[in-house]
Amino acid sequence: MHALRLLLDGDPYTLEVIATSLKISAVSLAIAIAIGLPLGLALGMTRFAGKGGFLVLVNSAMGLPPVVVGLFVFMALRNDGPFGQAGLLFTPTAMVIAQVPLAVPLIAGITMAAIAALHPDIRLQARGLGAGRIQQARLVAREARPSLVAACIAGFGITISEVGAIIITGGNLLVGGHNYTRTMTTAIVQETRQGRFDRALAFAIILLVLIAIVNIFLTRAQTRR
Amino acid sequence: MNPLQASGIRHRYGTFELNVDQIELTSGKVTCIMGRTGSGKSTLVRILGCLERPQHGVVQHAGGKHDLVTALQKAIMWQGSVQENVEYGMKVRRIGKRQRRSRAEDALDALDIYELASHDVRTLSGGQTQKVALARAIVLDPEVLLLDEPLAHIDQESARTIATTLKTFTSRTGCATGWVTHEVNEALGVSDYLAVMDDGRMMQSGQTLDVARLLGGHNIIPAKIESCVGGLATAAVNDHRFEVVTDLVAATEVFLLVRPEELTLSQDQQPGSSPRNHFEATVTEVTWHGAVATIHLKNDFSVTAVVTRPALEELGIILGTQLWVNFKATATSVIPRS
Repeated sequence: MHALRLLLDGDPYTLEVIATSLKISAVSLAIAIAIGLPLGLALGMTRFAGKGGFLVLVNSAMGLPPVVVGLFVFMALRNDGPFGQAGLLFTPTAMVIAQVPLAVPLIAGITMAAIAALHPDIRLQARGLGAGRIQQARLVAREARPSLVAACIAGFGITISEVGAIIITGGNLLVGGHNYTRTMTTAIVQETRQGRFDRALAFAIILLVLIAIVNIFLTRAQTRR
Repeated sequence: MNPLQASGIRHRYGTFELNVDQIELTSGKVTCIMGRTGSGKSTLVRILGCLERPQHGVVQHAGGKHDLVTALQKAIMWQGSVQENVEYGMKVRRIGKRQRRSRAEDALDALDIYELASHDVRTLSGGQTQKVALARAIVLDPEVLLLDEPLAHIDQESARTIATTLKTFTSRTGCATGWVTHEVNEALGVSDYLAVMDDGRMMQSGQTLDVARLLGGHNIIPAKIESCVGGLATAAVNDHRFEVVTDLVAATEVFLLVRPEELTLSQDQQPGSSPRNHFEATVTEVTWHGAVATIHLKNDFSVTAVVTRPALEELGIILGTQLWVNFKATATSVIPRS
């Protein structure tokens, strides 16, 4: 009820946290899809020396601990780090930078597995009918669409629910009374630490409802012909 | 220059080596590549279709990549309707929607599956899927068409219709068709040229009848089609009338090919038995090969049959014995003489 009241009353803090969560998650997911899908397709469709090692790398990266990624990004972006001059630490950009390496291996790995599950001669037959490389890739992606949407769902799941990496790189900040880098997950941590369990629970419920809504759309895209 | 020719093809994988000195496909003709499973036919077709690069050798084809179409042995369909699948190659060639639709309908009609156009390909039987794969290939009207076992998974009746459709398509469009099969009768029935492969090597190649003669093992009887109704024809050999399975029209000069193993011998005409064809002949020669004898028989044409020793003794076969020779319409391959 408290969650509903926070939403319906238009509580600015709550709405800002939701907006920040969605924005950071959407940007991270878009970048991760832009990298992960073509990477997965390329790895699934091509043969090259050392591919086995590459696959092990991608599969291992699927299990990267978020706090470790957050720590590496923090080290890279801190003032005396290699990219310190960019002044990105504790900004939404830093949070995106931390989330992308978590989502890319997941999307690429699932894409790769989806391609491997298709008939091995599907591209060969398309080629036999005159399809070029890009047309073959489009056909393969179309054939594997349910799995590719599953890859996107997994990517969305990790970006919307991630907390370890973004709390390190974003800092969970409110600036001038306005939300800056606080997302629903980091807000839940914050509210729980401060003993405001009803507010933490409210964010948790809102987060779950949002995940459900987005997944309804993605699942419809997955099953649509 | 023929639309597709290849020379000096050497291709090794594992312990298998494909070794083909020369092969070419001729415009408006069907060239069958025949051989046992594992003889290298499918690999050769993939190489000819530029789907696999040979380790050595050259494949030359006159047109661009869009003039060369290959239908693989396994009919792989994409998700969607039959119509969408048949239109795929045209979409790749950026042919307009209206033209795609009309050409796809024509191809489906030619293969007698027009009513399946809107069906989901996942609901089709194996034979229907194979027909869709063929429609998807011929709709592109290619200069060179390579078909790997196009009649696999298809019932006999449909196979005959498809064979006729593909033959007609080949001669009407001037397409050079390469047709892989392991079925001797199928190869003899559809091909103008025949290439026989074994263990990765081209054993014989040339005009179908010449290759059939070179390979031996067939009775070759000159005949003329008298009439043909629904794929069942009557072929005249002098005063004899034989039933054969073909779509060739009346007055076509043909050769009937029957393997000696397909001929049965009897003392009486045996009406009411499944072989539709019977004629009387005289034994002119008996040659023994272990437990099996080759019997040469003569009427106003000669044939050879093979029988076992007990069968020969039971029939009392000696030189000059009069016997009835019987064979089934379905055991006969019909090759146009031209």
